[in-house]
Amino acid sequence: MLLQLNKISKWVQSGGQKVFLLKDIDLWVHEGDFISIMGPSGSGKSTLLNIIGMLDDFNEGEYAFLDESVHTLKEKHRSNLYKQYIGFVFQSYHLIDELTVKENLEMPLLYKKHGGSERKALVADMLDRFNIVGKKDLFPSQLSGGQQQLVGIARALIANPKLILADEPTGNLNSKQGEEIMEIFKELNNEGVTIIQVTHSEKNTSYGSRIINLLDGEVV
Amino acid sequence: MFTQRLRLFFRQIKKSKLTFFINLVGMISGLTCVLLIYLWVDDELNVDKFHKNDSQLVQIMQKQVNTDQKRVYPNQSAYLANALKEDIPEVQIAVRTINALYKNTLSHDDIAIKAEGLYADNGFFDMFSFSLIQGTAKEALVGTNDITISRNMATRLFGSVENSIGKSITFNKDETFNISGVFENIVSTSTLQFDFVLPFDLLFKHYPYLYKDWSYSYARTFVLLATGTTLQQFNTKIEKYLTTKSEHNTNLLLARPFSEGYLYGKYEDGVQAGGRIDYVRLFSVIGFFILFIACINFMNLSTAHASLRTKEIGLRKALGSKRKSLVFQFLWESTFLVSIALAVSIVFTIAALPFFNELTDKVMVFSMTTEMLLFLIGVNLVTGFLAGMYPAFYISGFNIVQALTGKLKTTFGGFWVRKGLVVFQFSLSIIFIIGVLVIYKQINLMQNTNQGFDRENIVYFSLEGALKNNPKTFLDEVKNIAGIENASTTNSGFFGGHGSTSGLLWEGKNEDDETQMSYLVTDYDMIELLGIEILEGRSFSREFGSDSTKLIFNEAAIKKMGLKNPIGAKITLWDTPMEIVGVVKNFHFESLQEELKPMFMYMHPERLNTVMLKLEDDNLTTTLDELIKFYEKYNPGFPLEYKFLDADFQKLYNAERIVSTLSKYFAGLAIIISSLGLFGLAIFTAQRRRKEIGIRKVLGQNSIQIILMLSNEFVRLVLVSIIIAIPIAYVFANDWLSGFAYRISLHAGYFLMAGLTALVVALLTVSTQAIRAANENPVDALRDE
Repeated sequence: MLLQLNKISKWVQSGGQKVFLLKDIDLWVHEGDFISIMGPSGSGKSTLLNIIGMLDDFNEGEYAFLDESVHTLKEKHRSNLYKQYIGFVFQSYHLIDELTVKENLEMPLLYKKHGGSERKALVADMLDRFNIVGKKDLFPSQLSGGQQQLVGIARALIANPKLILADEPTGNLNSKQGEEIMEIFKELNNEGVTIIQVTHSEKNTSYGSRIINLLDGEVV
Repeated sequence: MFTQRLRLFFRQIKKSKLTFFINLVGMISGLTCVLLIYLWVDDELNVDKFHKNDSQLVQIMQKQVNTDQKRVYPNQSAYLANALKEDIPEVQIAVRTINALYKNTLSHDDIAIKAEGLYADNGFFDMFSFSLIQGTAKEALVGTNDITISRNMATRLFGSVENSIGKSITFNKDETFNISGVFENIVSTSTLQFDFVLPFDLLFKHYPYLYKDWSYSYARTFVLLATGTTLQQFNTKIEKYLTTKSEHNTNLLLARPFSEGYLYGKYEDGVQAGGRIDYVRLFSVIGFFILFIACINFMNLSTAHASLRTKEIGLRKALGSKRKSLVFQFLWESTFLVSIALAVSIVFTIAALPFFNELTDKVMVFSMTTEMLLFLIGVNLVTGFLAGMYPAFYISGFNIVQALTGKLKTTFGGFWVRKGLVVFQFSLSIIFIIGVLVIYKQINLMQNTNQGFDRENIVYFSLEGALKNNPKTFLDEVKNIAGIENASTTNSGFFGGHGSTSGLLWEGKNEDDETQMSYLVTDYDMIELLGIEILEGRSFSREFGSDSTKLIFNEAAIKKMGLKNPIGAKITLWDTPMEIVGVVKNFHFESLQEELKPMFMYMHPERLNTVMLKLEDDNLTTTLDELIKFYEKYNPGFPLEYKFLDADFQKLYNAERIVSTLSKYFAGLAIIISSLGLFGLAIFTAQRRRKEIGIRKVLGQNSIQIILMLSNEFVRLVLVSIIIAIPIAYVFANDWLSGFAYRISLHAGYFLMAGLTALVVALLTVSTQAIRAANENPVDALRDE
């Protein structure tokens, strides 16, 4: 078992009332799963993903990641945990505009204990693997959307995570680029990486093994 | 249109209170500074300018050329004024004046007042615009029994000006003068300050030792040029005038506009070398720069803030607003903001004026003259334009679609301009700080340098009334008061106002040598009282019979004269044979701005007019109380007005001290306004880099690393500022210091300290924002809308 959510709830106070963003979510994820989270806008997909990624807090429930109970961990410990095991891919890529492709890829490694030459080797591997060696000195604004997302995935993978969290990874791409990205996810999954994606597209769910439907913060 | 703009403007303010507040505070401080400086500069520029004859009114100066260092001084022979009037047709009026060497006592009935006097020739009131309320300029200063007094004196002595007419007053309890005129109180912008005027010829009665001779200079000579005569013509005419009077006199005469004397009073090697005008210019520039720093804040914050207003701009453009009208909108906003700030700063200025007056030793008032009104309007428009121009053109140039979708790329150009402006602000601030440090250190040096004598606990007062008749008895008796260590007499104040003479002959003196030597008239015990060190020979002493033909020189004078064995050397002073009995170690009897001059001391009982007492450190107030009691009994009718020598010494550096205090405040303001701007900019940088910070956090960067990263950007700017500021400050500081004969050496510490101050202030300012940005939850920043 990679992670387990037990009766997770998150709410905000609005006008004296609790408005639930998520309510009593139970979720088990095994290593090698490829899960798609679906649901209309505002159903809590991204919130759930952020909680899984430990970027966001929840108000109630229990969360265990690799048998560590996340909700009792200290901030520092928690961030070490996700730094080590989780990679993020965003809809709008979130590359740093002022850094080149190579530098963007290198960034997650800067905060871990990697030597300079090791970093270079890892970056070169990634560039190679995604066929973007020729683009390594370009800035994000000089790339197409698909290429930017490729860099985004490469960046998520570079620290060799067990879990990839992708928030509508193809949302900003045309269908051809989208397919290419999904193919890459499929390959990664075949290599053993666990993937959780948030998506609107039925087609994208077909790449995964399990679908979770959310509506108004609850699993349906 | 107008009301809509106004409404929008106020809503903008409500929305972004912090930016508005920073802008406003910066502007108000900057404008208050500018207003105060304007008042000061205006006051300085108007000194002595109120005379109706200003354009034709000149003062004659004498230039000594036959020495290594050419010297220009205002003292003239008492003969000069009349001679010029007779010989040169362009001279309409020529007047001699001299300030009374000490305060005199004017009394009527029981009221006795110490007053500043002036001796002047008839014509004085024609020449200068000191208006007479009573009497006429023609009749004033003619009869040797007549006195002209100020309104203030008249009221204090007689209750009112009307009551004083036809009355007489007692002068130093032994002479009686008829009041022949009353003049209006003298404005503070006059360099000539006096409470009464006596005919010049009385000078020779009151100071019988003053010779009338062509080689004996002590009077100031003012000339009113006939209309149509230019200064240049007149100067060519009088330049060699003195040679026609005495063959050996190689000194030159030059005339300078009277009202320029105040601001352009400094001469170096015989050439005009600025004076107070330097400070006037300096502060004008400082005022402008401080305002500019505030304007930069406005520019920076508005452009940065523009990122929040892009939607409004895009919408306006999409709805058909022309660029011109947008530019106008922004300029209007900035001008409006400036006018609010200006209104507040006028209030602040008025509130700060009493304090500022005290600081600058002036009597300035804030009055809405036409001139002031024009200045305010000018400042408002210029500042509004300066502050609003860049944002106006920058923001109005946005592309509509980009602006509406909010996907505005921060242009690197705009970014660099902003950085450049910050660097400019901080460079200025650092220069100011260095300036403050240097001035402070220099003043410290001047105050703490060993003067070569002891000025602590020394009081002095006029020798008058009963004291004058027999100083010796008074000195002996006053010494009996417990706490009075020593007592002696001298002539006039110790600092400044020394006579100097070239009427000194020694063996081997070159015939053309016109070396001026300063002199102090002293009495027995004076050298001991001041703790001046004797190097050779002896001090004046009663044990050797009369010392009235004995002289004591300082080292510098002995060196100047080139005497190998000074003790016993024969000297002729004003045609009297004398002998050197001692040599004293050099001591500074003038401001340290001046090079130490050759000087000598001699005894001349007739010229003694000041009592000097050395008091013991303990029980100073008791001793002074005792002294007052004793004096009242000993010298009834003469109010005792004593002064401390140390206070006079402090006064020597008044201008420098004012500059020092003012620059302290201005530098403080500059750095505060700059960091306000930096603070605002840090907010916007954090906002601009919000997404990036979010990404970095998600990818594992911790808060401390992010704080360092954000601060780093600003630290680099400040470092660049330091690099720019240091050489500039070095040049300025060196230039300022070169005006002092004794000066500090500039060492790296001052520059480092200024840089460090700026750095620390910048870091403190920025880090608060950095910490806030770094602790934000990255999810909020990365949400895909």
